[in-house]
Formats: sequence, C-alpha cells, structure tokens
Amino acid sequence: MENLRSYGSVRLKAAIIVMGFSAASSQVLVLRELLVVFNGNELTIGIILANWLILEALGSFLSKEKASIARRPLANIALIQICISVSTILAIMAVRTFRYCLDIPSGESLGIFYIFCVSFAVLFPIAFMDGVLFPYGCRSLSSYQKREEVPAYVYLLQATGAASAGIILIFTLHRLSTIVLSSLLLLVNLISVACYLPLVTEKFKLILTGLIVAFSFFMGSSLPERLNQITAGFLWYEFKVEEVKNSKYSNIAVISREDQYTFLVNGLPYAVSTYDHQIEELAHFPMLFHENPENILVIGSGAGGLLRELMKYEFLMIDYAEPDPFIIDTIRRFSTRLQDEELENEKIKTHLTEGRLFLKENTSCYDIVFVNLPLPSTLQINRYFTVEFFEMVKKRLSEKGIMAISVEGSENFLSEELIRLNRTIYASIKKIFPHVKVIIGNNNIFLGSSEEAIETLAESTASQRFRERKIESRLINSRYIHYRLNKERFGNIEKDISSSSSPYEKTNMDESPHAVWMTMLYDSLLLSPWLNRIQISIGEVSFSFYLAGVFILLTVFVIFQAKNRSNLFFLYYAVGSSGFAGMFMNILLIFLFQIHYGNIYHYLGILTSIFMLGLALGAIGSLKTARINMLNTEVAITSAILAVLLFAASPPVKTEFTLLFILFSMFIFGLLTGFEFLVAVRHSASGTGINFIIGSGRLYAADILGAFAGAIAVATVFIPLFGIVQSLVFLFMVKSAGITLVFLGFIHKKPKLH
Amino acid sequence: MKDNISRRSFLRYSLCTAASLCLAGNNNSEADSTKVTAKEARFYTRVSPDIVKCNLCFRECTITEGRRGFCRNRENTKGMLYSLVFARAGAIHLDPIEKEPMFHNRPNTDILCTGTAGCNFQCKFCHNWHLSQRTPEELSPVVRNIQPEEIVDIAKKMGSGLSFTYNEPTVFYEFMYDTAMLGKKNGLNVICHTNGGMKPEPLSALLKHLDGVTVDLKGFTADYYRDASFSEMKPVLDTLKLIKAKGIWLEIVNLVIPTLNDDLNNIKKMCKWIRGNLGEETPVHFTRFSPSYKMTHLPPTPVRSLENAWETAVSEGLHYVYIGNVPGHRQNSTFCPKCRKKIIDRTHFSVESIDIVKDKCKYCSHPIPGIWKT
Repeated sequence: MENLRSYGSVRLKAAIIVMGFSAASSQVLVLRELLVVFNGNELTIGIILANWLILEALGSFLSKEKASIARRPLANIALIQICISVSTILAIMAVRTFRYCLDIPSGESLGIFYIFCVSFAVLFPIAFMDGVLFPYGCRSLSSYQKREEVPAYVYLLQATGAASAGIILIFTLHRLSTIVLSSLLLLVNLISVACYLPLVTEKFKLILTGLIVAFSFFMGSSLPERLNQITAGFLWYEFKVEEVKNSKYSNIAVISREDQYTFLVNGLPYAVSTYDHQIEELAHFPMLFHENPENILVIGSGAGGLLRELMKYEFLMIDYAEPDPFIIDTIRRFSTRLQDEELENEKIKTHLTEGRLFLKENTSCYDIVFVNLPLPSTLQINRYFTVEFFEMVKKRLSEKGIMAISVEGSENFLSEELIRLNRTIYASIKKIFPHVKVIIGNNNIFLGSSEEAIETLAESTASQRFRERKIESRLINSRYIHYRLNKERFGNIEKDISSSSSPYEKTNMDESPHAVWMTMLYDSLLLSPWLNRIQISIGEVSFSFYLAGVFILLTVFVIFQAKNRSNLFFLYYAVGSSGFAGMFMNILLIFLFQIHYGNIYHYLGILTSIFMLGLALGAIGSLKTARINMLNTEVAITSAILAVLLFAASPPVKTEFTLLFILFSMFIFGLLTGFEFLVAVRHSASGTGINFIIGSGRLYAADILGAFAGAIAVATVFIPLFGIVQSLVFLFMVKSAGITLVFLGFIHKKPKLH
Repeated sequence: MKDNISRRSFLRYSLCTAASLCLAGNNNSEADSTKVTAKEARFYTRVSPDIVKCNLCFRECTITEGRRGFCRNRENTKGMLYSLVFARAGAIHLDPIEKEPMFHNRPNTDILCTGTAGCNFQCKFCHNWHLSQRTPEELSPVVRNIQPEEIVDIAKKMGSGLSFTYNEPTVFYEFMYDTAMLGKKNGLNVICHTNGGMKPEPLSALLKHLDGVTVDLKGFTADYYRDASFSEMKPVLDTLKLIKAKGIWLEIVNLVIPTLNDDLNNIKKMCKWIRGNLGEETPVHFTRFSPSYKMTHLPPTPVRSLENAWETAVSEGLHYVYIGNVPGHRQNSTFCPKCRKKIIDRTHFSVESIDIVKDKCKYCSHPIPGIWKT
C-alpha cells in the first residue's frame, strides 16, 4: 500500500513538473507570435506579460475554494492540462489569423488597445487555466504530502518544469516551427495524463491511447509543418508568403508582391529586393564627408541595401557585423541580382557577431562606422545609441574617422517629440565627439568626428568628391547635394536639434536609457495618443515627487497595519511586493547583462532558468528550515536590493566580476522570493484558521499581481525614465516598508514567529 | 482574530492615499501656455444661438458650444465659429515646386510652403501626420506666429512662390485665403496641395487667387476612402471637376500603396474617369509609398506596381503620366506626347534641363499644357 502511495506521488509530481513546463512553453510560444504581429518593444512585452500574470492570478484566486473541496482533483488537472495544450495551438492560430478575420490590413501598426485586447483574448484560456492548476495541484498532492509542505512542493515542481522549458526552448525554438512545437507540447501532455491517471475506466484509457497514437502519427507526418505554413500565410494575407522561420534571434519572413521580395524581421520590413533611395542617402552622404574613406564598418542592417551602395567605392574594405546568419542566408536564398552582388563580393567581410561585441574584441581602425538601426524603441536597440557605445566607436575610428547614425526626422517639420528624441541623440554624440553634423532629411543622418571639417565642409567640396569618385547613383548628384546640404532650407531644423539651450538634452546612457523613453513617447503618440498623454504626465513629475508619493502611501499602509494588527495585510504586502521585486530584478538584471554582454537571446533562457532554479531551491529550503521567518526573508530581500543598488551606483568593475555578480544576484532573488512565498504560505496556514489551499491561492494571486506590476513598471517606466540606480532606490523603499509591516504583523503574533 | 483584510478600511486608506498622490502630482500647468488665439471662421451658419454648422468641407460638421469640428481646429465659441490656426504656422519651409508634385507649373522654381495643425481626413498612411493629426495646442510649442504679410515678404525675398500644403489647407482656409490673395497681388506663383474635400463655394472663392492646385486622388473606390482615410470620394471628384471648370492648373497625385489601392482595374477606372472628366492632358503622378504613420508594417511599393499603373494610364490615353518617389526613374521626366522626346529632364526634385519654348515642345512644336513663364 505504501509502495502504491509512493508510486502515485511520483507520478503526480512528474505531472506537476509537466504542468510548469507546459505553462512556460506556452507562454514563450504565444508571446513570440504576439511580438511578430505587434512589433514588440518593452511596452508590448509588458502588456502581454501583465495580461498573462493577471489572468493567472485570477485563475488561482477564483478556483481556490472549489479546489479545496474538489473530489477528483487529478481528473481536473488532467483535463486542464490537455485544455492548456490545445489552447496554445488555437491561440497561435488566432494570433496569426485575427487580422484576416477582422479585415485589418497586415501592414497596419496596431495600438495598445489591440495589443491588450488580442493578447488578453488569446491568453485567457491558457493563463487562467495555468492559474487554476496551482490550487488543484495543491489539492491533489495533499493526499501524499504533509499539509503545510504541499504548496512548497507544487511551487518547487512548477518552477523546475518552467526552468527546464527555458533551457529546452533555447535549443528547439529555431529548429522547429511554432505549430510543431505546440503540437509536441500537446503530445507530451497527453502522455503525461495517461501516465498519472491509472484509475480511469477502460473506455477512457482506450480513448486516451487512441488519441496518443493518432496524434503521434500526425506529428510524424508533414501536416504540422504544412499547418504552420498555412497559418503563417495569414499573417501577411494580402501578400504571397514565401517563407516564415524563427532564427535564434528573431522571426524572419519573406513576402513578395510583383517582382519585389520584402524581408521582414519580427514583422517589420528590414530590406526590400528593389531599389530604396533612402539607403542611397545613408550610404553616400557620410562618405562625402571623408576625404579618403578606405576601411568601413557596418553595424545593423547592411545586407539588402547599404552594403550594395558601399560596394560602389573602388578601394573600400568593409567589415559587416551581423549576429544572425539566418538573415544573410535568407536574403541570399531569395536574392535578386542586386543582392547577389553584395553578398558575394570579396570586399565585404561578414562577422557573425553583435556590433558591440565586435567593437570590444576587434582592434581594427575604421574611417567610417555606419550604424543602421531602427529607432531605439527597446532597451536592446538602445545600446547602439548611448554615450558608452559612441565611446566604443570612437576608439575604433581613425584620426579623421566619422561615425554615421540615422534617426527618424523630417525635411519640413519636426514635432516636439521628434525634436526631443533627436536632441537626446545629438547630445549623446556630442558628449563623445567634439564635432557633430546633422544632415537633415526624412532620416536625419548624424555624423560624429574629432575632425572639425565635418562641420565646415563646403557643398562644392562634397560635390567635387562625389564626381571624382565616379559613383553611380540614381538620386545623388551635384544638384541633390546642393539641395540636401543647403543651410537656407534646413538650417533652422538643424539648429532646433543642436540647440544648446534645450531643456531636453539629457544624454542617453547605457544605464539611463533616456532615448527609449523618448521613442516610447513618439510611438504612443502615433498609435495610442491617450497613452501618450498619460506618459507625458508621468514623465513630467520628478523622481523625488514619486518617492514622496510612495512614501506617503507606504506610511498609510504602516498606519493601517499598526491599527489592525490581527490583519494579514502585511503578509499579502510582503508576498506581493516580493513578486514585484522578483520580476523587477529579473528584468533589470537581464538588462544589465545585455549592456555588458550583448544580445541576450542565447542567455535569456539560461538567466531565467537560474532565477527559476533559485525559486526551486528556495522552495526546498523553506521545507528544511522552519526557523527562518518572514521578517528574516524581508530583511534578506531588502539587503540584496541594496547590494545591487550599491553595485550599480559604484564605478565599473572588471567584466568577469560583473558577470558573476549578475548571475549570483539572479539566483539569490529567485531563491529569496521562492523561499519567502512558502514561508508566507506556512504562516497563513498556521493558526490563522484559513484553509491552506485557500490561503496559498490568495498568496499566489498576490505574488502574481506583484509580478504583474513589476512587469509593467520596470521596462516601460522605471528604467527608461529614471535609469537603473533610481529604480533600485524606489524598489529598496518598497521593500523596506515590507520589513516594517511584517514587523508590526509579528508583534501581534508574539511569541510564535513562524 | 480577523481572517480577512477589512476591504472597506483598506479601500478607504487607499483612496485617501491615491487622492493625495494625485493632488501632489498635479503640477502640470501647461493648459494656459498652450492656449491658442482665434480668428472668426468663414463659411459657417448658425443653426441655433449655440450651435453652428461649418460649411467649409464635405463633412458639414454641426458644432455645439465649446466643441470643435472633425478637423480639431475650428471651435464654436458662444455661437461663433473660430479658426484656431490663423497665422499659426506649424511648418514653413522652402521646397522645390517639383516636390509638391507640380511638374507643369514654372518648373525648377521654389515655393514657400506653409502648413498648420489638423486635417479633415484621417489617412492611415499620412506622411505629415505630425501636423495633420495634431491639435493646435499639441503643436503649440513648435508653432511660429506669422501673419500673411510676413509670409509674402519672405517669399518675395527668396524669389519663391507660395504653397499651402503639408496638412490639409482646407482646415486653415482663412489663413490660406488671406495669404494667397496677398501673394497673388504681389505677382507670386500661388498653389496649394489638397485632398479635395472642400465645398464648392469656398473653393470657388479661393481659386480666384491660385495659379495651380495639386489634388490627392487617393484611390478610386468609396470603400478605400472610407477605410483608409475615413472620408468620402465623391466630394473629391466634384472638386476636381470644379477646378478644371474654373481653368486653374490641375495635377493629380495617386499614392500607390501595396495591397490597399494597387488594383489595376481600379486604376484603369480612375484613369478613364480622369480622361473623360478632366481631359487627357491632366498630369497624373503615381507615387511610391514608403512606410509611414500607421502603415509601418508595409513595405515600399514595388516599382513594378507603379510601372503597371503608368502603363494603364498611358493605355487609357493620358498624356502626362509620372512615376514619383523613385529617383532616377525614366518616367519622372516629361516627354512630348507627339514626338516622344524628353522635354523636361528630372531626377527626383532636380530639373536638369527644360526643352519647352514658348509653351511648345522644342523639337516638334507640339503645345505642352502648363504654366511655363517664370
């Protein structure tokens, strides 16, 4: 009998691991699809994650009471598990087809309203049911485990599943299509259900086995891949979709119309196979400002236009830093004559690495460094618009070398938002380069150099250089050079951007990514003007004001707890704020990692897995060490925040140490938040009179709500607006209040502290 | 011992805190700084003491006290309609006339272009959305207060003409009208670039002071106008006919957007209509779209699509058909419809040579329609 019990327990635990694995996998798969459709930046990711978390919290909160009295929790879990997997496939299809169904052009950018509604609708069944699984998991495991240890085990097992999903997806996401992966997920869940539901009727067993066999055949056929291609075709339903694939870094699609191929990266046009005159401007104007350019470095989009234009210069050697080989492969496979020329040319040396890493590791010297990237709408792209990056570029430039970077502008009129953004970039370049020239256009080209000549270059000299170099161009000729460099036409706009009396000339730094905030304001103005107004209001209030406001709010909480000492508010605040801090630190540490070690795609899963490992070990720790109470963990979390704050505020240290510090902090925050959650569950279960499933369901909801607030706040407001150090000061304050509240809560419970 | 948080008391504390936060955070006093000046509008009727009806464009907005029309820059104050953008230029800039585009009116000259805030359309692909989709208050920090006289003076000094463009000039009618009238008196080349949504009466009054008009014919189906521009097509067609009837120089622009309006059947119908109603000598520009405003997920128009449109228009008998926004394209230049020789050589906005003598083709003396004197 004991053996049977133990066997049942192992199978159930395995099922809970699969639950955690499935939920995390579904989240990644659906999130990636949503990012392609909505062109994801931090705000988009924040909204989608927030939707996920709030739905999960809702699921957990609403089901806790039913779960506590469920008669057949195992069967319920099995049903939910299968439903989650099926919903994942359906969600992916829904994301791909909703534009077609609602008759929304595939070329139209959609605002926050759509992002919120669509992600809410498609995530609803998955995230809600994922939330429901926690109390049901607790209920099922309560047959095998000590009552107070149950939530800890469920938490631990789910975290283990989620961590393994992170690692497995790193290696599979770019090898298998999304539909194939989600179908595999369904198969794994069907098998898992078949394994842990031994007491079902023969008929049900037969149905389940039949389903598994049938689905295995389906997986073995080409149907899932075909289904993937068909549904992906709906993403750009008015075009002929030639190919859609995931690379390690992004989603890459090729669509065609007439004789033109368009290469899309994460849903946005990256390059077209036909002529693009804006690329001509970006390539040739910076070249005119250098008397004898020979060595060139291109960072960002090069293939598909810029390289082709640069190839026209006879004595040029070009290094091209592009981390994603799949982009180059795709362009080569769908190449026209123009692309063939640029990709097969021996003057061009392609380096499969990220631009910042290339600058760090390479010792070559360049006459011109081109940085061709979209607006810094994400923290990742912003790293190429910061003072620190410009400094790296300067170190690799020859004596008369020039850095060229473009930012959206206008030939006729710059709105206040664009002026602010352009001024931020200008001020950042000016901090490193003594001489900065802006060539005004629909894409303003910023040139930075140590050479004064870039500011004083005469139109006639530029025209003469162009003639002497005998460059074939459809757009650029002496008249056009005269037009574009004409101070009478564009002098005022240039003055607006370079105006030194500007109040907006805050520089854009790695750890204070001001340009991201400026770009977010610009994007929201375009797509969601109501949000823009809110953001402007948020941005106009100084940081000290926020601190004062939060201080008042926290004081109110403390007074409330002091007056109602028997109230468990302190417990929910502690868990909720730790959920907030956990998510806050998770994103912040990933961002810090990104700044120092480049593109994080490879490591994102590993970093998240380290966090989840911390969570799991925290859960185990909470089972083993009953003597550590809430107050201790609150102090520990607050101290850890203080440590990161001191690290971020102190001068830069060796990169190896930074790496160790980030990894260690990631682990510690996972460990402490996981640990605290379960200490809180134990506390709520001991002597409060609340059913332990209901209590843990509530705390789980508080934890997730905190994480929801963290997901929204950190990447969309705190880091872009205040930078890392101030954000950490804010977080430190929030958690310090937790210590006070927990202290007040415990005074009431004296002498029993745990 | 109480098990639950007392929701009521929690709510009370939270509300108090939130209110104090809001009060503390409300340091935004920009309302006064963005207050705009106003001038009484023309072409409106009073429906009741408090309600007015704007008669400027096809929308005929009925505007109640304190409210604005669709364009967001004409406001009813105490039963009178005011323009909030008179003498408030959001953009004032010197451009080549070819950029308008206007190819048959004094080529290779400059125009001083003026635009303000607001529009009576809402095109998802607008290239000037920074101006057209903003209110006067939103543009206030970058607006330049400038009277019609000053604009005319600047244009005279620069030796340029005048153009009303960027956002829809209909919505700054009073400002445009006064400046155009003054410009015309001073012998300047005065043109405007419109979406064609103005009503006949104000348009007729304005045309007396214009030399040429470029009209966007955005597509040729009512559905497209409704879905992509939130507007109507019929008023635009009426405008085109009226401009032609008044004998003012007219050029038509059709921005070809992949998947939205590049259907050749519709382009064919459009060209047929132009030929039948406006004449075969009306220049038509098919211009290339590049990702803008809400259509940033779309690629630029394939050049082949523009060439197909060009071929369709030519086969429908139109004589002056151009491909725009594709620098270096052969069809950016003007060819004599009789001898087929290039008579104006253009690269993008730059004019390399003009072979028109006394309004005729230099090679075969075929009359070329347009305004060629400078």
